[in-house]
Amino acid sequence: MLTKLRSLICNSKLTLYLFLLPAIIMVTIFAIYPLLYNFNLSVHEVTSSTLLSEDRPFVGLNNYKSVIFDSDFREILFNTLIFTFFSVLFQFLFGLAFALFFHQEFPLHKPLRGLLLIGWVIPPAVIGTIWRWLFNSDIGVINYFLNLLGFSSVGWLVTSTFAMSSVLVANIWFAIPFNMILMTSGLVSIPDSIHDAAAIDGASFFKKLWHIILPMIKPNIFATIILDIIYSFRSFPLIWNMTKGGPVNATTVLPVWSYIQSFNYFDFGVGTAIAVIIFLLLLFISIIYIKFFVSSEEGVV
Amino acid sequence: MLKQFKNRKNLMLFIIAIVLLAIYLFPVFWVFSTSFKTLGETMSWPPNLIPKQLRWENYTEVLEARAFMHLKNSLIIGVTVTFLTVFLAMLTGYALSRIKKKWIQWIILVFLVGQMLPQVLMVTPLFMIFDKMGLLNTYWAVILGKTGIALPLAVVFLRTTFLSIPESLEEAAWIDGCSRIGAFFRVVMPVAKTGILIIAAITFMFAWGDFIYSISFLSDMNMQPATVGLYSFIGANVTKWNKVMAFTNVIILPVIIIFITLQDKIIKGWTAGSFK
Repeated sequence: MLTKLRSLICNSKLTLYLFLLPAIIMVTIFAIYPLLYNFNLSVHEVTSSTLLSEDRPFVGLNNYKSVIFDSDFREILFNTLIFTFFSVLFQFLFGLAFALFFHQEFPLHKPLRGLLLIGWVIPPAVIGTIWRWLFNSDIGVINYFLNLLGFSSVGWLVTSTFAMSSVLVANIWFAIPFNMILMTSGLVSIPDSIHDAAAIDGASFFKKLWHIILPMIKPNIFATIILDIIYSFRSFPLIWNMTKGGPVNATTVLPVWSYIQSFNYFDFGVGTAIAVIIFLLLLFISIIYIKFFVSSEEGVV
Repeated sequence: MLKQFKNRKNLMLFIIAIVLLAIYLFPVFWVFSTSFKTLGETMSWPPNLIPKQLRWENYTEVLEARAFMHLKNSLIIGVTVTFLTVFLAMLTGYALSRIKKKWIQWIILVFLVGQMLPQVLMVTPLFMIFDKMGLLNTYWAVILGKTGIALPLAVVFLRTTFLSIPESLEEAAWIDGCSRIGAFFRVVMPVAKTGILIIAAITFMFAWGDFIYSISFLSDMNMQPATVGLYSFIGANVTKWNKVMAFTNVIILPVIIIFITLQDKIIKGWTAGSFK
């Protein structure tokens, strides 16, 4: 009996399959199941009084209707797209520029590049607080620099016109290092001989960049931009700690709206419906990413 | 090294790099600078870039009042999530790298989708699940929720690490006694050490910075981690920016130190293509 048990445990195939289980169980209970449960909630009327009871009336797609026909919906969707688009654009361009710059050989270029990553290890919630201070309209240091340059102070976080650009700056600042590292991993994969060949031809820098370097790191560029889109699209703590979505709705994006509906208005049905919309849009982007990931791994599995 | 600076181009690039770094890291410098000022000095206009005197009391006052307690909570949550995530991801990542079946792709797919899930999506359902389990207002609610969402990245990352270790290396160890498990701990793990260290550091930083789960599952202030502590601290001290920044600094300093210590390894592991 004991030897049988022993041989069962030690059977190498079986062990491998047992190894699979723990993480799958954890992810199923605490990620996949909540995801499905969220769908279920979004078609019920869920308020603070019914949240923790089983008795929640089924309302079909009513929650979705009230989201889509909400007078704020268009503005918030537009905010989300603006926030995502400009985040991704500038994160990527700055990340690429920094990667190219620090890819050159000069003294200490590696440790200096490492220091740049500090921005990326700070929790987004805390980044929101830091930039809230920098953008303070009365005594903030950004207005001070503006004054030095001859401009007058701006009410960054308190006026609708400037609040969006403020959260954008903070989010771009946060993600530049991430982009830089992913781009660097592409650059190091280009063999030196190609750089040298281009140099002998006397190709100008931008020609070389456009015709040789960028095409060679296309897969990295693609993966980076998709990840940027996903991260910016679901951004919550940074905005919440900076503006709480205000003033009025100026910086309210879909995740912020979902949170407000659920935890400020206790309309969990609507909050979860917004979350489902976020998920479907993200899934669409992710499918492109995953297709790419799987095809780049062909032959491995 | 000094010789390299004799080259004019090198010197120029070096100077530009320093300037870029100074601009980029200015916000972090400003946290430090503000955190040592007196309240009066934070409000003075034009602002002093460097504080006239270092007021250390900002730190002692903030730590004694609340920050220390919140940091302790962050540490408990961060360390537990890290151990749990890394341990489970090691097992599953290893299995995924060694089982050569078609259906394995589907499991990897689940983990890839898992990576993209926004926490805002999970927070309401998890709130109800933890309520049923009686775990609301315990560290476990945040720890389990965070582990569930940290695992996918860790699994995919470690699978890539294990894929790069040739199977022939461990086959030798299969022969004696309990084959797989022994080989895994004695042969595979030591080789994968760097990969494991990197994902541990990244998981810790991720858990340390948690905000949504903590603010939603932990209503008892004494259990909340530092990110949430800072959030409510500002609510009550919105004009005391010197203390807010001292609080901010004690949150970011630990992760910055961890990162700088491991920076070489993290960047190398990353640029080696472990992340896709």
